Amino acid sequence: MRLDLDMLQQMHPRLNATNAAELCHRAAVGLERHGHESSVPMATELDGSHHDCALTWTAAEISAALQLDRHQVTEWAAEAISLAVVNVGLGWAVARRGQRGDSCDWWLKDRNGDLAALEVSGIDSGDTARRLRDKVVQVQQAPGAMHRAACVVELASPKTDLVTVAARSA
Amino acid sequence: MTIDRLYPLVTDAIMRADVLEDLGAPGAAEAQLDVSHLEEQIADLLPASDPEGAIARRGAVRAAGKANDHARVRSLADQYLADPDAGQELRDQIAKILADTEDPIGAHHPRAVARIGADRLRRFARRLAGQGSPLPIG
Repeated sequence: MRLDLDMLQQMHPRLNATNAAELCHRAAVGLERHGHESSVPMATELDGSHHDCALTWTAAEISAALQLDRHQVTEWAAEAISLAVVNVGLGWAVARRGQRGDSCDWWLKDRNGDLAALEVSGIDSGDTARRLRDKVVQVQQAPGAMHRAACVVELASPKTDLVTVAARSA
Repeated sequence: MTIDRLYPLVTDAIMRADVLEDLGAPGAAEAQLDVSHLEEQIADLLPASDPEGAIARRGAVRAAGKANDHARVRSLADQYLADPDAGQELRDQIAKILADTEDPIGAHHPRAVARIGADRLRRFARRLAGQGSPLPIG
């Protein structure tokens, strides 16, 4: 599977070009600060199924990292990568951003136009399994979604773990 | 405006508001008000029974709360709660956002409120704030 972050806006036409470019830029900064270069192999777990991906992007200026908040870079890098994974892996495309407090980071549409909720978390390195469990619980509460997914991205490896989940029964 | 035009705008507005909120920047409240107005426009186009209409209604009220515009929170909540097309789940969610906005201490410290009561906790918070910084700063 090839994930070209520069194609994010084409994957998600409802992301405007500026937001897509900003997400890609932060992903580049986040990945490059761990010494990665474009076309880095990324282990991707998609509902427990393993995929070897090649992750590509346009290189960022070295000085760019100094202008950005480290935590925000990690989060937005994870979001850029997750949005690429859900598009290529599941065929989902962004409808709109979710607000904080609404149980998910992104509202998307599947190929049939049904609503999907995506909750993303990014870390530089560490325990992704626990983080994924927390995010699954969170996205299960997303009201009105036909599909729900949680995705955790670790930038140091890099690796991505995405799971689709059923809604939590009332 | 159409949904196709409004969705990229609300995405952009939310991303900008989140960044300003994280920075504690003075423009954060104003940015949240922009979000609330865009959500309201989306809500005007989609019925409350549509999941995306519900997202927009919750979002309009929540963002008004983050902007500290309590009159707008109340006005939007009253309007959406009175909508006969709104289901019970949406009504409950809006009522909760309204309660959290009007009683942030209860929303942020539920265990402390349960233990000593909201009034006593508010008095304690006021006294704590009033005594100033316990350590010299700067």
